[in-house]
Amino acid sequence: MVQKKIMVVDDEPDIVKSVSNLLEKQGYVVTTARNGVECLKKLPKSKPDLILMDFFMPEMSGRETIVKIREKPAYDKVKIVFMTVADFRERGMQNVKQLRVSALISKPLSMKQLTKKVLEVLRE
Amino acid sequence: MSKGLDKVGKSIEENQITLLLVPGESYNSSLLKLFKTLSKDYSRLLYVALNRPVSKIIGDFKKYRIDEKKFYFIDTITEDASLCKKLKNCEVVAANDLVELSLKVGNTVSKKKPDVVIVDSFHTMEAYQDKAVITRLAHDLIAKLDISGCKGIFPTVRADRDAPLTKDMEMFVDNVAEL
Repeated sequence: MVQKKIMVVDDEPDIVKSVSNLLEKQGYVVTTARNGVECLKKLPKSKPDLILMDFFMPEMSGRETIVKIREKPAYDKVKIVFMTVADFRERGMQNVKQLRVSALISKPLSMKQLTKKVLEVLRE
Repeated sequence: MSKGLDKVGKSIEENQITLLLVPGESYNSSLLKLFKTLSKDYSRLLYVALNRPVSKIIGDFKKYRIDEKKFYFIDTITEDASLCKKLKNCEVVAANDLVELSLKVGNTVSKKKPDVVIVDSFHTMEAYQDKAVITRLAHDLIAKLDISGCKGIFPTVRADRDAPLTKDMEMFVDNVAEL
């Protein structure tokens, strides 16, 4: 069976570490990025099936990063999940839909919920 | 998108949090006209001044015959707090101390119970703060306004309509209006 690839993009090292460890234990191939710029740099090589993206990040926000990812046809099918403390309002949720974000996971993260959501999104 | 003074007034009435695009060439005068309208429609307004010292803002209010008594100011520009203390309706916070600024706005909203909070303008902070820090601050303040139920108006120069900070902030506001 082909292992699914997941990229974790977050500027908080502790979150990156704990999420990566969890996903690796579950058999996923995990790459990480500390911000949007690094995510875009690593995309061609890592070719993830799913990106777990933080919203508030220095240099390039999660939203900006997703806009840039969606501009590239090569990553048209990559699934993206926001994991964030951000409380998007109705207008923000419309933007989330336009960016074709598959799901939102609220921080602080529940590892149980994260596992469930990752499975759900990858099965879609 | 709501455009023009009347429509913006209506938009503010109908929405809790408004991102307001203001023409750069008439930024101050356009806002002052809006404040004049707001001061008639609302009895308590909190003005968080990130652009200009309150002394200058009050000078403009006098020119435009805006009732300054309806406003409470948080001034992040004036360095000498004693200048602001002369005014009863003003407090000074260092612009680079975002924790203090957030607390001050939160406490003032709780105590003074304003109908409207104007933050003018988050974009000014880009000169000395990372965009992610400003977006977090805006998100934090909006959460505080949500709890208190008061309205928020975040003016920005229209030319920054497509700037990343504007687009990120759009995620947390109810409406984008244009003067």
